[in-house]
Amino acid sequence: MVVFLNALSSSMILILVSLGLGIIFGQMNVFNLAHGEFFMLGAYAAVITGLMGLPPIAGLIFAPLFVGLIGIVVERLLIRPLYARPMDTLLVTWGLSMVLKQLIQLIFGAGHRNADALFTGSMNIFGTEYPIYRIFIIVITLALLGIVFFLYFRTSFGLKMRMVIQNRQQAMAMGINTVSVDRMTFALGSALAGIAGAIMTPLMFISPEMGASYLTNSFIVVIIGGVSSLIGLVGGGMTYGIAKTIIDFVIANSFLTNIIVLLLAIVIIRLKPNGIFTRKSR
Amino acid sequence: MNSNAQGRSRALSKAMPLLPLIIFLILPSFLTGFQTELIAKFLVFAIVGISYDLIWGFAGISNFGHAVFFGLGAYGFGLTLKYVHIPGATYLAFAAAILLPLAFGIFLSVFLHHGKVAGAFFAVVTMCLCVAFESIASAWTDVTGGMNGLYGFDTPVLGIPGVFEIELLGFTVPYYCIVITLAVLLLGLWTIMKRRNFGKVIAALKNDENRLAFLGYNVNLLKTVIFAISCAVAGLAGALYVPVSTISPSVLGMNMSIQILVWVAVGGRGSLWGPIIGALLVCTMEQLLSGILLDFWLLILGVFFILVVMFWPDGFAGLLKKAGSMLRRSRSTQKGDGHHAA
Amino acid sequence: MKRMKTRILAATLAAATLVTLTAGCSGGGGGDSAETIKIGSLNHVTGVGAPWGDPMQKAIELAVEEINADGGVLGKQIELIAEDDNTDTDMALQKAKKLALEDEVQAIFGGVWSSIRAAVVTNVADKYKVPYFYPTYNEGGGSLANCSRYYICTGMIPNQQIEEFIPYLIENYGKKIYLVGIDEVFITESWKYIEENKLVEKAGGEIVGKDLTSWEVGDWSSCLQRIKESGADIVYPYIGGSEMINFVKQFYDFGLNETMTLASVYLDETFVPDFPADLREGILCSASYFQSIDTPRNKEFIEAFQAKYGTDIGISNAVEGAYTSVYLWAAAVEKAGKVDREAMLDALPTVTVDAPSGEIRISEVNNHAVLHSYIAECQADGQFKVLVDLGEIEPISACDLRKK
Repeated sequence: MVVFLNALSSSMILILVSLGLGIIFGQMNVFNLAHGEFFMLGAYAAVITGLMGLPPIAGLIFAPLFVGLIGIVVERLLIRPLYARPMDTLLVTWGLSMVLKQLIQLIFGAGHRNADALFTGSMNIFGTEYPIYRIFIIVITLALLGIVFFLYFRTSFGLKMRMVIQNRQQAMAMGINTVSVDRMTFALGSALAGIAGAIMTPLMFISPEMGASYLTNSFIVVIIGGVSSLIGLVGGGMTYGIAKTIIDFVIANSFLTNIIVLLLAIVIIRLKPNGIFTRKSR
Repeated sequence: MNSNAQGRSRALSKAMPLLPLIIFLILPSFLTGFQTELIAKFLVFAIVGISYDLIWGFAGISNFGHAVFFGLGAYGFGLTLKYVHIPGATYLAFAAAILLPLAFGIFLSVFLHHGKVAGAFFAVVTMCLCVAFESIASAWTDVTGGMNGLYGFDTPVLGIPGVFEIELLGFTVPYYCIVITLAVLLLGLWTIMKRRNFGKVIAALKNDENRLAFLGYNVNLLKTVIFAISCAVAGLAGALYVPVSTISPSVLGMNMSIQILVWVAVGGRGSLWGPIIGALLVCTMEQLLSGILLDFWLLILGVFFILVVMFWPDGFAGLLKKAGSMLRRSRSTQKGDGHHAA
Repeated sequence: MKRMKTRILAATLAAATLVTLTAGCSGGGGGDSAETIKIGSLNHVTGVGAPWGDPMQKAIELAVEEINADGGVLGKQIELIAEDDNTDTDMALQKAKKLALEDEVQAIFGGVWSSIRAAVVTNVADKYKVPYFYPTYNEGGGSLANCSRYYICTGMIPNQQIEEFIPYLIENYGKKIYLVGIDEVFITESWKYIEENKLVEKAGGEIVGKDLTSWEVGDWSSCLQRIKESGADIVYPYIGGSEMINFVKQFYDFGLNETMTLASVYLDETFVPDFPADLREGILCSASYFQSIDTPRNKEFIEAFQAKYGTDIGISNAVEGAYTSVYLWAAAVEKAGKVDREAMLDALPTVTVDAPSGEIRISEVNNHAVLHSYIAECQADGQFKVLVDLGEIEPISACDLRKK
């Protein structure tokens, strides 16, 4: 049972952290290499609310707003002008990640910071004791996925997003303002990265370097899961998370596990460049 | 009077590229041993930058893990010197340094390009590979020396074993000469390539791959060829890195890959001198700065990098060129209007 | 005309090449001016090691300031040339060479990362004969990276740090111990030490698990599950860098701190005070220094440090070690009577320094420090309370400089 919950929570963490990246890539074909730093900014948003004496929930509310706003500015200044140059977009987001990391380091120093957790302790679930916070992560990730699904499939904005994903040219021809759709998508993706950062603060170190840890993992989830569907992303996250947990359980050597999973991911990317879960090709 | 002036300026512009070479050759006599070694190391970095420019600036392939090839060269060199104890082992070591990354590069290019993994995907995959390699190098302590790095290998020795030997140490003249020679050869290779058909076809890869395929060229083969050349050069640079530094997992890690990318981007991609200027500029600044100033410098570098990507793809070299041509233009309008009108 | 130009060009190139070939190591570096003595510091002020390197740099600067205010060394003021390696091996090597060859410093101080230490000792300290004072605990050993006349280690090595610590843990906190570690030389060598010397078995305990992981794990749930199932009493993590915080936070999240004791040489003032109160209470550590040591010298040190840098920085053994190493060097120079690296090294084993951690001296056997060893437990307020003062312990390792 615990193995199942571990696999589930590991997968949910991966999905949580990758959600923002996947949405942006699916919509705009932009790999936001600053995704790790947006994640980090969300964590620091929680640090800031903590320093102001506010309860942890404030951090969870402030983080997505803060990072979402930054996302809007970044999209306007850096992404939109490079719309026609996708490879340069990749690079500019890398430059952004360098700048953001340095800025935080200059403002907050290089040391580790702290933010309080919303829940502590463990609860009894299906007969076993399991940390409340991990259950919370599973719940909130599902909730966020739910919100995103709702957005995509039940709102007119979501309709516009899907139209742009399906066929950008045609969507423009039909009068959709793709610029504003892109901007809002980027803001949404950034906000999701931010809230992920705030949520993860009780389980990891908080420093300017924290963004790098989850960057590679997020990419793998997005790529193997399938680049233009949300289900694909969830599938990718679950596959990666479960594979990692099981391989680790069997081999009981975290180092080998990491290498094996990484190499497997590369093979999958090669064999199914559109991801395991996408049916259509690009 | 006019033609002489023009002739002189044309000769001057032809001689200009040689000026840096002459400066580099004379430099050691003005600098200390340490400073010479530093310049030599920066030139090695410039060489790996040039190798990166070959695939990125020239052929348009984005590779976020280029340090892997540089590092494989360094480790190949060191491992050969550690375990092979025959006269002339250094030459074998150089061969290993070139062949190891070459083989892996060819394999990678074939594996990925033939699977139509390109563009952003290729970049991300190479990034993941880079992380994997650094992990392996850190953990495989028995072979690579682990996190601490590879030690205990023989000093590389060139020359003819038994007859006349030159130790290849960082601050020695032979080392410096070898690095300069390699840089010159590379520049020569670059210039020739650009003029020949092969070079033009590779450049076309960057602009429009589909059209090239349509014209009947085997795009994947072309990509693999330029990738192979790039990896071989990177490996050689890796071997030359060993006498001036140390072999440790960071030499094939993400930090190194990003450094290489930044040198080429900031210096100016697709150009001859870009990687050289980039490497020299960035490395010199990092050497001179420490602590909070270093943090500020890294911030400025990041901002400059963004500006380069957005507005100045020719980087610092491009800016210099523009400044140079503006100066020349102002000088010629100053001098010659009356004459030109006739 | 053209041929003439080509010939001039060729001649210039030939001349330039000739100049290069005949160039030797020209010019000169610093050398000490009559008024100041130069020393260098090389710390991880920026980069991933900054949480350690930045306070250490501050400690070194404080020591220099204090010694200078007190009249300096041999009547001359100390000039500190501070370098930052950005926790990068290549840059560390570059700057170490600069300190040694350009600035011609009398000694270099600082460092935490093993890989950087190995590179600096092998390629600079030993090669150019510049003393390198390294204040952080490490694995010890006989290889060049750990054993050189020019490598002065003021940090603890296993026989000082864990030989008593492990048995103490078994005797007081439970028989079953679980080892978790990163695949890195310090860790693997320490485990070897524990196993070869049967530290666990001799105390009557049992190693119920050993987990060797990669440098970046992130999600420790599987490992923590194994720990939970092993029924261990003591969990002994050897995880370097920020990843330790991931492990500890998740250890706490799984509630394992309620039934298991967390002990590690890594868990000191660098980040333990930042953990939640119910987590940090009860964490055990073994080190050569704790901020809470109640001696006048330590109080003096802490007051001066906090007056200059504020109270937010945790003062760990590495910070104190950096501070003390400067005093050790200064005392050796005074004893030697002249500003000379070799004379300083000869005099070094003969001096003692009243350090915040107690009396410190260098063993002439291996140029490692004879250190006070303390076992301490973190209290709810974030400070460590010393449980056992093991007194001075001589450093014993495979390194024997007398044989070299």
